[in-house]
Amino acid sequence: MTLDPDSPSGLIVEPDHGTPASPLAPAVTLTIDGKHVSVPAGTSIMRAASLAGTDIPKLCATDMLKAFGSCRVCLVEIEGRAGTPASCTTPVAEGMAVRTRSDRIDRVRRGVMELYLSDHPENCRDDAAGRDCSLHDVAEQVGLTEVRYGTGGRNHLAAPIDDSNPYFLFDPAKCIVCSRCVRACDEIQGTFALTIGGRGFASHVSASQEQPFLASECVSCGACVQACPTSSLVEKRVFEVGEPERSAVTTCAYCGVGCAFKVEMRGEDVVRMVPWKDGKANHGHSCVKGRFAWGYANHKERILNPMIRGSIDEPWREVSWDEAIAHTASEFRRLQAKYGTRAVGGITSSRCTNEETFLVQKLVRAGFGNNNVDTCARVCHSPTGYGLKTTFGTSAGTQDFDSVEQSDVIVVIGANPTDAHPVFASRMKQKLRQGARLIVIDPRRIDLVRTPHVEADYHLPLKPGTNVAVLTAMAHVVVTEGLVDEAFVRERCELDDFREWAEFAARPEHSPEAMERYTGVAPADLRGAARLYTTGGNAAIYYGLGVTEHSQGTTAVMAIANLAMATGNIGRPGVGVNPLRGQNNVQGSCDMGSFPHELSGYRHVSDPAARDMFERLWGSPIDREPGLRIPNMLDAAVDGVFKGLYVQGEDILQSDPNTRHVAAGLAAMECVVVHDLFLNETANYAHVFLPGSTFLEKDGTFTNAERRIQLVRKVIEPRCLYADWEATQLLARALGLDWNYTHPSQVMDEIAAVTPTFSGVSFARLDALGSIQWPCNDKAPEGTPVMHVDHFVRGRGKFVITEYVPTDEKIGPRYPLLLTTGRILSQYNVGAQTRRTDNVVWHDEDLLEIHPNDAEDRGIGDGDWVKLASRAGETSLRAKVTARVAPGVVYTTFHHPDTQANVVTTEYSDWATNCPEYKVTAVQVSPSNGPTDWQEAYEAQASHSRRIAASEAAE
Amino acid sequence: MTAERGQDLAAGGTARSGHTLERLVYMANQIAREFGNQRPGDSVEATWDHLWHFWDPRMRALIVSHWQSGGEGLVDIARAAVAKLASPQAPEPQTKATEFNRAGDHEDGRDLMSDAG
Repeated sequence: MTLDPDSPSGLIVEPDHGTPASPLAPAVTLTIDGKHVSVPAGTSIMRAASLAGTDIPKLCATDMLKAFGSCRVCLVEIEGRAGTPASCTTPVAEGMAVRTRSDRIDRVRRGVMELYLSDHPENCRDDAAGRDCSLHDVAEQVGLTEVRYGTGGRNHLAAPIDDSNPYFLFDPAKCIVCSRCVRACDEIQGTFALTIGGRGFASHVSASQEQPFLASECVSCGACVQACPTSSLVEKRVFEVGEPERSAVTTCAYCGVGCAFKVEMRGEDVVRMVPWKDGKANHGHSCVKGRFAWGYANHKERILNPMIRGSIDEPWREVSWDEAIAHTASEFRRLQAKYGTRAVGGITSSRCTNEETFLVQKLVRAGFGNNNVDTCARVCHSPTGYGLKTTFGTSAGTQDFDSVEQSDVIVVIGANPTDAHPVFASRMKQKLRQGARLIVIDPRRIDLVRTPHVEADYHLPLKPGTNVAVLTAMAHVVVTEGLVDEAFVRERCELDDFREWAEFAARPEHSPEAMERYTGVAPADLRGAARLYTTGGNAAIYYGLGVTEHSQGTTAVMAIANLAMATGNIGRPGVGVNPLRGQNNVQGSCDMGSFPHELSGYRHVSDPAARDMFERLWGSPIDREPGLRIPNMLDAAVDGVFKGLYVQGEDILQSDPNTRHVAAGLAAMECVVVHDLFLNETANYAHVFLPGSTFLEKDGTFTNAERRIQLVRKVIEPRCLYADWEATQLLARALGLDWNYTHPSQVMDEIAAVTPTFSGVSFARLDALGSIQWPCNDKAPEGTPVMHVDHFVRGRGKFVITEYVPTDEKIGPRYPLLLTTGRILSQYNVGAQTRRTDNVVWHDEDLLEIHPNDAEDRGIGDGDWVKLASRAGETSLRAKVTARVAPGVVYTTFHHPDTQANVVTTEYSDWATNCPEYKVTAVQVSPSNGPTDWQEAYEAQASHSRRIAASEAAE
Repeated sequence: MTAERGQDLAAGGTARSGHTLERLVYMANQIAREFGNQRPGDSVEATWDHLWHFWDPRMRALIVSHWQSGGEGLVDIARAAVAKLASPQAPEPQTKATEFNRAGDHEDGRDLMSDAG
């Protein structure tokens, strides 16, 4: 990165070489203004010049987009060629001699710029966004000093501003119709929401069919805003706060993609988050959440002072940090003295940093003296951990995101990337538009099945809960049709296991035809999909919680691994098994030893050598027994033996299954400590509230779904005084632990010392390299993009028999429909952050998607209130009648506490890990007048519990 | 070590756990059924190993105590596995899922266990 010389305060300005890098290898040598330059073949003259230090003026060109050649200010002269070709669209050639300046070129450029400026607001530079408009800079660059045409002619200066989008506006008066925004929407985001309407002088940027941006197909990813060279498309915040003065590179705190952003600041205010081009996960792209939805950091409901209360019936009482910490420590010690060492525990946050997570599990193990620590991975990808560890030797995703560029076949199972992992979905769609084939296995017709210029070759709309049956039937096709990559299996896998598995898969009862009665998938489609996966070239599987959140989640993960091994789709770019992680740091929270049976580095607590390493470093004994997982903690609480819980950055009451049981567990505890930004739902049952800090307020690291560790940089002081790691340290010290960290980098040094896969990681290395994919150690000092390259981590890959076992959650006359749950683009998880932003304009309530046939049977119309009832409970919400779901299946999101979708989900869980079976609940849907009694009672309890006593006047 | 674990088990059990016990029996049967399908030859050992490595002392104590009083509801594989759990012996790891990294066991830098979610 380079600093803008005009900006002494340090705004990060990234170079723009005008056109993308060429992937070709052979070098071509040419001269530019007499200087010899050597660049890869296929490079544009503009880029070659830029790399050599010559900045050719440009408006329609940016290295984020393919060359377009419309603005005509980048013209050059080439010896031996006629005319003045555009340098952005003209590739270099061996021996070429280019002149970037001459009287003729200068004259043409000035003429072009004069015309542009004659139809551009004269006072453009005066407003806060003026700095973002490069028109005047380019005019200066080409030496234009006056516009001879005046402003009296026809122009676009009175065109109305479109400010329908909550985050950015479009001012057509400043637009030069360079198409950068249109191309960004097409090439980068892949939504194709923008176009150029009209012709000639009437040409203009149009969202959808001349609609306001908000009403159009626009998904508000911000790519157009970033691409705009004239501030015609600009963030509203720039006008609200003023132009940015300083910036830092940091990592988004939303999903597991882990986008890198420049956070631009004015004083203590965030002006905007702009995706960073050097971010290895996002390459300069973003989505509506990371780009725009960070306003929750200053939301009025944020709690900034510690609070305590004797019981959850009492209002909260604001206290000093000292009092809150001393009270908490004394309560935990009291509970342990009365009920035993193992009567308390903690939950680490997959939204907090690695360093904070490491400290919370250290607090539990070294301070509480037990292993009762867990994290939200319990309810999302814990089956990935068990399944991929069994088959490959490690659960980590096998690839980096860039790998998708080398895929020929992409399989998406139980994931909805365009909503839940949008920035990676855009990468995936780029590859699909280039011709990669697509198989979608999902009960719903997710957007990827058919979206502009993308259409799945196969969509297998399986019945919820039958992943294992579908995957085993695919294995049947692979084995019985002679599609196994025998050389790979022989060289890389356990042969006895393979033979058993092949014999199992080949049985007639596993054929697609036999399995259809369970799966509902047409056998011909399933056979076609299996053949395409096997024979279509590099094939990569991406999967999400639709695979894991089942009673056979772990089995399904192993079935996926079996397929990848049998077809040799492991160990090189373009292939692999890729779990798409939900939260920003869920990979990291697991790596850091957040599970009750494992220390960091994934060593079981029963291993004396591993315990010894930590005991010597920490000076505290480590319990040799595995601790309680979250659902086990709640069971033990209801039983009266688990009494205290420290919850950092997690809202288990809303996110975990069977809300009534979670509430009963929390209500049975004597000290629940919630450490969070807001009074979340769990806080309704808390006795201590410690205010949390946002990712803007602390240093640290997040680890994304591709094992990439990236720095989070503090840009403002913690509004509540202490960053989360500091608060945890205060509590540890109050419990008698001698912790003296003064910066999170020291925590990372400790992590590296005890975690072999992190041994080469430090803040200094991360700063130097930008990011590191673990494992990073002496053997791989710069990290590891692709895993299992020469051999599996476990040695030889292990095939596991995956017999389909139907879930015990069955439909019947009383509950004839299957409910499955998921996310939507604009909201995130329990919605604690996104509900407190303008993202609610896209989604302000959870809706129940129901097929028209099922709706008609029940007399339900679009938008009607319906009651959703299961064996566990009932709630009400409004219906959305749509054919996206199959008959017999209904779907909703869980972003809003008013809906409480998890009131109806059950306690069934994955056999190996207790990951809840969120994706299958037998339900009935019926017309309703509005909220159920339970919802009203819940709301009453919540508002009663959230009361904060008025603080006493100072003496 | 194994003897001490046995003592922990004895100390862990408590009453008031009807719902929990029902769940534990259900979970043990679920595990047993999977290993019965996956590895018919050593499903009891695999189930034992799983319970030993993933269940906390109180959960193990509850299921052992339930087995000692008749073990109602436990399927055969689960019943045999819980019987083994009641002994002070530690199981040999049956699956790589429970054969964890050991400290100092990282000579090629590739033993990368992860349970991420």
